[in-house]
Amino acid sequence: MSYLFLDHTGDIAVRVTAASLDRLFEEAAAALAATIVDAAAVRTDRRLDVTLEAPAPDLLLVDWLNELVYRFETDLWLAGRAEARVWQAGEVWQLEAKTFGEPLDEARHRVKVLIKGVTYHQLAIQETAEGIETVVVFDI
Amino acid sequence: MSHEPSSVTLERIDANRWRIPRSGGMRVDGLIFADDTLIAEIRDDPCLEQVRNVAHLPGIVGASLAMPDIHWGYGFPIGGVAAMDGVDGVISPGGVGYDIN
Amino acid sequence: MYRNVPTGVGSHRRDLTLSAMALRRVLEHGARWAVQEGFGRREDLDVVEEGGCLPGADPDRVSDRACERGHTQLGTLGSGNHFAELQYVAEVYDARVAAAFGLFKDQVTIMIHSGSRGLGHQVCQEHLREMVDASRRHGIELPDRQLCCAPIRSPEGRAYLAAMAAAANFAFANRQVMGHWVRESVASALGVAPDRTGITVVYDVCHNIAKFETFTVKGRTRELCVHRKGATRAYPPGHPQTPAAYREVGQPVLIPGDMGRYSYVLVGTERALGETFGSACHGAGRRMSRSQAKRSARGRSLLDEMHARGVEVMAAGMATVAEEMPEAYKDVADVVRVVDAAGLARRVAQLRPIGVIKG
Repeated sequence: MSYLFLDHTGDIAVRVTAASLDRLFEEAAAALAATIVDAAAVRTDRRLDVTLEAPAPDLLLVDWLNELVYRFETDLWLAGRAEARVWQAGEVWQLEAKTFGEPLDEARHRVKVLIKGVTYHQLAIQETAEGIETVVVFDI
Repeated sequence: MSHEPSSVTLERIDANRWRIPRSGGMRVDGLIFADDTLIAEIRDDPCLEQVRNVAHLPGIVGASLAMPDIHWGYGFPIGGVAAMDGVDGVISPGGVGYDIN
Repeated sequence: MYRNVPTGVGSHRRDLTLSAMALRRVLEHGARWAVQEGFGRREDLDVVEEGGCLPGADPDRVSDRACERGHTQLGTLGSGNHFAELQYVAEVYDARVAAAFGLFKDQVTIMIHSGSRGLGHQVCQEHLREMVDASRRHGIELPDRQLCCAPIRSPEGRAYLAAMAAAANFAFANRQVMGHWVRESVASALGVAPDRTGITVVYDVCHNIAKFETFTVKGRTRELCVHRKGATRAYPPGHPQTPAAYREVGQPVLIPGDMGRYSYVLVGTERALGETFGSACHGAGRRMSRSQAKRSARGRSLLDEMHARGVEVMAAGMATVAEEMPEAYKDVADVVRVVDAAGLARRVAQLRPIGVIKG
């Protein structure tokens, strides 16, 4: 599982690949944190839980990342690592996630960029030979 | 993100205006304001497809318009103007953008 | 100015905190709220688009989350392409119109570019999400989900319009508050009273907005909902929406360029009314992606380069300066030339930067 930043006029796009949907959500969260600060500097001994639901997995992914943007903007919460579980329950898709991280500490973290939100632009989760893949565009 | 070269048909109207003629599901033409210098850069940008896409929206009046500073945006291009019928048209948050102001 | 106008992550002035009630009034009344609270003067509102307050704003349509993002961000510049700039009038192209706008050669001007900050972002995001479903329900086929929309008269459409107007009012109030602090900064630098700086507002204009406006289309008067995303309203002389002070010359159109070269003031025309629903461009447009710009900035001292050009830059983060360097943008003169030649708006003055504040 990995993520790769892509060149994109105006904003930041990241391609995330993973073996499963759970891992894809975890990796996307890691990519988000790595966009904001140097991810290696984030301590992960505190925990914040998130539960969400949406009508489709790709919409759930955007909701998830937007939730993390919101947590950062309001509580300065940086989620360095996450454990996610995603499943379908009837009409909806559900997410239960534990995020591990800490609030921004300007003495140790240098903010590289502020993400204002995550977009629906050309949003799709696709199956590939290695597992699943998505490209997410962050608005900055 | 890499993009295929734009497959949009572009016709010159005069020194400062270009048309994307209506085709397929487009309800109106696309109209782009640019001279030769600017159109050279715009041609390579996926924003022309976005001008074309906006022309598909219900209730759009006149043309899907693009100003000379047009560039790629989410869904709608940045530098775009779309007038919708005030009764039968649609409203789109993407046609305003994130930084509402 | 840099001390008085907050920029950067989480920074805001401790002397401006909004209660939930006050935020509601900001969302309802926009820049009028700011003036009532002592930020700026009543006459400032005469030269703000829509008088600084869009009708139909409903604070109840703005979610708690959006309010939470907004309540510490009123009177903050934000990051990205937002800026506050000290400039001077380098060229006057039309002396009569410039005089009507109160502009003359070598005069010092201040330009502020900021919007509705996290609050507007949250509004957009939540309503996009709603409309992804709404488009499906209303049977609207879309080439891209980000184009999602709803009929203007549907509940989803009305809800968004009411929230959007509230966010726009937040943006009007935001700029009005910052404008006031800029006046205070100049007053303290010059050692005069804040009301003796001689700073007047030329104009305050939206460029990301949807508004109901009346046009004549093929001989018929129609009310249209004009979406302007990165486009500026440009109304001609004589139009009832052009401020009374400018009724004889037309509405000022502010076109910021990049931080190293220049910005422009244009004036609206009759031609734009017929051809672009009274709209013109809004800026230079990016040429380089942000990462391209950062790569090209590597190993250079942009602040020194800007200093050598006669522009002092103060920024909360150096990454922003790299992303926003002049070469990252098209030459706004090219953009303005086309707008002028096509007759959408005419050039009035060119403004060159002296000092730039970035988030």
